[in-house]
Amino acid sequence: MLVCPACGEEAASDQATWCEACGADLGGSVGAVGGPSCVECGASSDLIMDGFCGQCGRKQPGPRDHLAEALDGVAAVTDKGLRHHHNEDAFAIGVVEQGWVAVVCDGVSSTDHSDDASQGAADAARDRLVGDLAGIDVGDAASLEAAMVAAVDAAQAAAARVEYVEDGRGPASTTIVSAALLQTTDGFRSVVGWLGDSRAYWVDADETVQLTVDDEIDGSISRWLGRDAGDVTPSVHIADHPANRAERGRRHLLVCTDGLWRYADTTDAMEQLVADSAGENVDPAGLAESLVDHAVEAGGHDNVTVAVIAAAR
Amino acid sequence: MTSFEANVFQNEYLLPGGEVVDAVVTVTAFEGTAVGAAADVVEVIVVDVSGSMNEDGGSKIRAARTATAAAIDVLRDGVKFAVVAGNHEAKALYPPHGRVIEADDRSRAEAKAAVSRIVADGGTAIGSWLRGARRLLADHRDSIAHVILLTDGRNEHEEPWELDKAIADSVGLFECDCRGLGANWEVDELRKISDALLGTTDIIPRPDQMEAAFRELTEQTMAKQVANVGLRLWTPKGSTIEFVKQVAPTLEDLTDRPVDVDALTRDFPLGSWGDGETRDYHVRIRVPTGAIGDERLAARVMLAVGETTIPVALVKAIWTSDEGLSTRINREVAHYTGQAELADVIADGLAARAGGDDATATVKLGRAVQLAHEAGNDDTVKLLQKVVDVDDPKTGTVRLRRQVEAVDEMALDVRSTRTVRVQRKG
Repeated sequence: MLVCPACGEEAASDQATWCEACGADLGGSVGAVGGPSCVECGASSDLIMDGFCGQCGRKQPGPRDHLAEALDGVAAVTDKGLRHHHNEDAFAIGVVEQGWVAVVCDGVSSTDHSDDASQGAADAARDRLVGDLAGIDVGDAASLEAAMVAAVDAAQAAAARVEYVEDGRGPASTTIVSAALLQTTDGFRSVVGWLGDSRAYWVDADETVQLTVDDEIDGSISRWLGRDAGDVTPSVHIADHPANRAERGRRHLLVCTDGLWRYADTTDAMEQLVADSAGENVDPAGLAESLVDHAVEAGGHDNVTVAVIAAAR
Repeated sequence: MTSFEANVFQNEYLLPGGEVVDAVVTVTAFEGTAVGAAADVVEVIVVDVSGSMNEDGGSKIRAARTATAAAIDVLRDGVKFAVVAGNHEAKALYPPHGRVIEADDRSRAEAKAAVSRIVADGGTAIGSWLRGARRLLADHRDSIAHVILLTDGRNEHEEPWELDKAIADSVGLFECDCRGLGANWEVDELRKISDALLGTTDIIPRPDQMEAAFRELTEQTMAKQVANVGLRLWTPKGSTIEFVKQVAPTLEDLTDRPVDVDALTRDFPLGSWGDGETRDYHVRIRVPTGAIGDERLAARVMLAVGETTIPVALVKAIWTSDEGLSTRINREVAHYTGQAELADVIADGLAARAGGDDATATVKLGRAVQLAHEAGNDDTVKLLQKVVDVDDPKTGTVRLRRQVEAVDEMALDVRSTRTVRVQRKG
């Protein structure tokens, strides 16, 4: 009899190569055919079992350990950092007719399946926002705020759908920062909605402005999304960034989890960090990757996620 | 029908540069879906009939007759068995044809009749007894083959190498529990046999305690379900298995007995198991170090039962810069490290006492009292109290007793490897 090492269920047969109950590899002769070889010793993917190399034992990176995505004008990177065993952060980005959308969520690691909550919430907010922004009047602040509230509401629905088995640790929950940067006749307008302590910054050559205010009491987040969340109406901040103020140099909307900003928790420090990381580089993918690298190299105490929108057309 | 389950207890966190991973693996056999058909059981009882068994007014040889008969009564129908009489040679006492016989009403009655006629005479050559058992059990490699070996004396009528060779030739063929009657036998001699043959050694201080001991041993064998279980360890390339020890119910070092399965996988024979049995193992593995944030599998723990391999547990190493994580010592690992130290200080203390070094003996046995007291080894504390007067168990302050019964000293020696499991609160 073969028993799955991951979930303890009995395999369908002794020849089974994967667990029908949880999907874990049972280490039969078949590995992920053509999958990546070991990151340390290069052993064939056939030898990788339960996520560990069968030759050198090295744990192989999980699919969520480090993710990056880049679209035209917007990019995001997430990394599990050095201390946590799972990455419960998530991002979702999109491009709309008038600009860009970036959503960042930080799953609360003391709860189960928070990665499902954070990814579900980010995707739902992005999808709703991309839909609602189509054809919207960027000058109509009330409509923009309504679209942002609706997007966070969709995110809440997704986070609350995550399965919860009573285990004393509370249901899956997540923070959210949902941001859009939209072109106006004389520059850009940012629309940011949030719950929790993930942040958005406007960074240009003249100034760095934190657009969000942490929902935090005594070091713990006071608002979040999930099954046990209270009121999930987001705080919404709308700001204009006229083109005539800083035509030169880089202009970015930055959205991040506390895995980044705890290494630069004042606007001055963040300004310096972005200046150091970006150099003359205004490519959002390069900047996001560089900021995440900085957080990991500084200690990687938490999952870290950065989304960057480049204000340029 | 038997299944196995296992739990790993370890602190997987290491500081950068750290290479040594300690883990305690608890394995339990329980009745469930089978890993293999229940094996046949074969029991061979080797009873000492040397001349010294006539001492003490014949009470020893009478106890041997009664105890062996009691053991025969415990054999259930269908179990194969034989009784061997051992002195300077091994003689088939029952069945007379020198093969094992199936237990039923008739064979049990015939065997008991043969046992009732045992007379004591001659010398002691324990190697020849093992060779006698091996002849009976050579064709039962896949069975649960068990030998009870009783002696009241030392191996005086053959050369030491003859015993060593007989032990080596018996490894893998049968398991052997050794019992020494009285105080004129050698603990190390019997322990050498039982260690190699995956059994236990214990003292039977008085003849009237023999019947209960024989009955208990036979009952334990009747409860066995699965033969030839192996603790299978995969360890990564570049790693070393520093040790593999059984740490409960008794300390047994298994490190030197691996059978290679492939370049990275080894089997450590555990012998046969019965439902409900739990044994704990302490493994220490040295692995190639990793960078902060790296995680490596230090061992994949499996059980090999016949052709079936059951994955039971993963032992991991994770490198961190957080000293709060890396310096934490796992409770189970700490407990069994203490139990191993306890056995060591008892052995050292008794050796010092025998050598006339009372100062060292006092320190070592005092430390033993302290460790046994802390860990809750109540039985060991009682055994120690027959050798030392305890002033304060917390500090290990003791005085050597002037008058110590030989059997008490031997009991402490032979039972020093008995451990207690981690006490769980509430």
